[in-house]
Amino acid sequence: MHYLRFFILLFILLLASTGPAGAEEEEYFEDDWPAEEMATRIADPLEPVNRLFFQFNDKLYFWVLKPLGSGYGFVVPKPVRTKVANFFYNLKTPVRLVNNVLQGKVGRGGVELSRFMVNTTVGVGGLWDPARHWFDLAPAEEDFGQTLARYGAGAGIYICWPLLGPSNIRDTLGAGGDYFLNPVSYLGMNGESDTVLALRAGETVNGTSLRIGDYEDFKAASFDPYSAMRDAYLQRRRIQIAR
Amino acid sequence: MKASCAFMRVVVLSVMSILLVPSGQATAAASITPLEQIRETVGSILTVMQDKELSGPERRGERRERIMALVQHRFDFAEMSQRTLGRDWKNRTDAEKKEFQHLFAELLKNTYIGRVDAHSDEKIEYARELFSQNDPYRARVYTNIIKNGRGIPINYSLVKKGDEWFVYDVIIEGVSLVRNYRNEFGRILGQEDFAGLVKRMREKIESNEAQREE
Repeated sequence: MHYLRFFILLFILLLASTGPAGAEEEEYFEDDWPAEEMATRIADPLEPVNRLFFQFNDKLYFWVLKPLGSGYGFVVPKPVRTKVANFFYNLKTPVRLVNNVLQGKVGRGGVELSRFMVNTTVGVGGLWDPARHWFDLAPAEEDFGQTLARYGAGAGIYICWPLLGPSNIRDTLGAGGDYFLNPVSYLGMNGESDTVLALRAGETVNGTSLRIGDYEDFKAASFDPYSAMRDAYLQRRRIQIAR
Repeated sequence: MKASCAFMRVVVLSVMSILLVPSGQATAAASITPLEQIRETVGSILTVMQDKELSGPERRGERRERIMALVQHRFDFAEMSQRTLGRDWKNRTDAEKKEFQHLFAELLKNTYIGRVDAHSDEKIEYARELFSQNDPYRARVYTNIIKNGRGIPINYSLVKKGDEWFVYDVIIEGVSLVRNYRNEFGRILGQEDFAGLVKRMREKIESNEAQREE
C-alpha cells in the first residue's frame, strides 16, 4: 500500500515536470530588444584584475590543462571518459535535487530523484544514463547561486576567478553552498584530503579531454574574448535562473 | 482507502494517456513547420559531415562549401545584420549595409559551423517548437545535441517569409549569437567608426581562415 502510494506520487511528480512549456518560455521571445537593453551589463569594477586572471586561466588552459587532457584522451578511450564524466555528474545529484526543492520546483526535483535512482541502479553507479536515453528524463539543473537569485539576491559585481573562471558575488557564495552538497567534499573529512584532490583533478582533466576545441572556437569567434565571456556568462545565468 | 487508490490510478492513467498522445499529429498542417525546417537543414548538414566520401582532409574545402551553402540557404543574414547593428543600421548607406552583411555572414558561418562540426558525431534531439504568442510569423525551435553524454541546448529563432521559415538567431547554451555580436560590435563602435569595425571584421575572418589552414 505504501509502495503504491509512493509510486503514484512519483508519477505525479514526473507528470508535473513534463507538462507543456509554461509562461517562462515566452520570456525567450522578447528579443526585439529595446535599444537600451544593449547596455545591460554587469558591474565590473575589478576589470583590470579580472582581465589578469582571465589571461592566467587562458594560459593555464593552453599550457597545462589542454596538454594533460589531450594526453589523457590519447590513452583513455572516449566511451570510458564519457562514463567517468557521467559518474561524477550523477554523484552531484544532491546539488541539483536540494536546489530544486529549495526553489519549490518539486516536479523538477522529482526528475532528479528519479534520474538518480534509475542511473545508480540500472546505470551501474551512474556510469550510464538510461534515465535520459530510455525514460527521456533530461537533467533538471539548479545550483545554489540560482536559488539565491530566486530569493531575490542580486548578482553583485562580476568576478573572473583564477582556476574557476567567470562568476559574480552571488554565484561565488552559491558555489560555496554547493560544495557542501557534493559528496566528494566529505571524503576528506577523515584526513584523506589527497584523495579528494586527486578526484577533483581527475574530474577536471577528464572533463577537459571531452571539451577540447570549445574554448578555441569561442576565442576564434570573439573580438574581445574577456568581454565576450562576461556577456555570455551573464546571459547564460539569466536564462538558467528564469528556468 | 482502497477505493481512493483505485480512483487515483484512473486519474493518473488518464492524465498520462493525454500527455502521451504524440503532439506532432495535431500540428501536421499543409505548410512546413519551423521544426521540420530545422530538422531538414541540420539533418543535411550532418549528412555532409558524416559522408565517408567527403571525410578526407583533402576534401575539407568541398565539405565546407556544401555546408556553407546549406547554412546560407536557411539563415536570414539580412535580418541578423539588422538586429545586430540595431540603431546603427539605419545610419548606414546601402553599400555599407551590403558589405557588413557579407562580412557578418562569413563570421557567423564560421562560428556556427565550428560549433556543429565539433558535435558532428553525436545524436540530436529535436525537442519542440514554440510559436510566439504576439507574432504568428516568429517561432523558436529547441534542439539538444547529446555530446559525451551531456545535452547541449541549441535553439533557433525563426521568422516566416513566404512559405518558409528562416533562422535569424541561434542560441547556444543560453547564449544568443546575435546578442553576443551586438555587444561586441557595440563596444567596438563605442571606440571606433564604422570603417574601423569593418576592418576588424575582415581581420578576424582572415585570421580564422589562417588558423583553419594550419
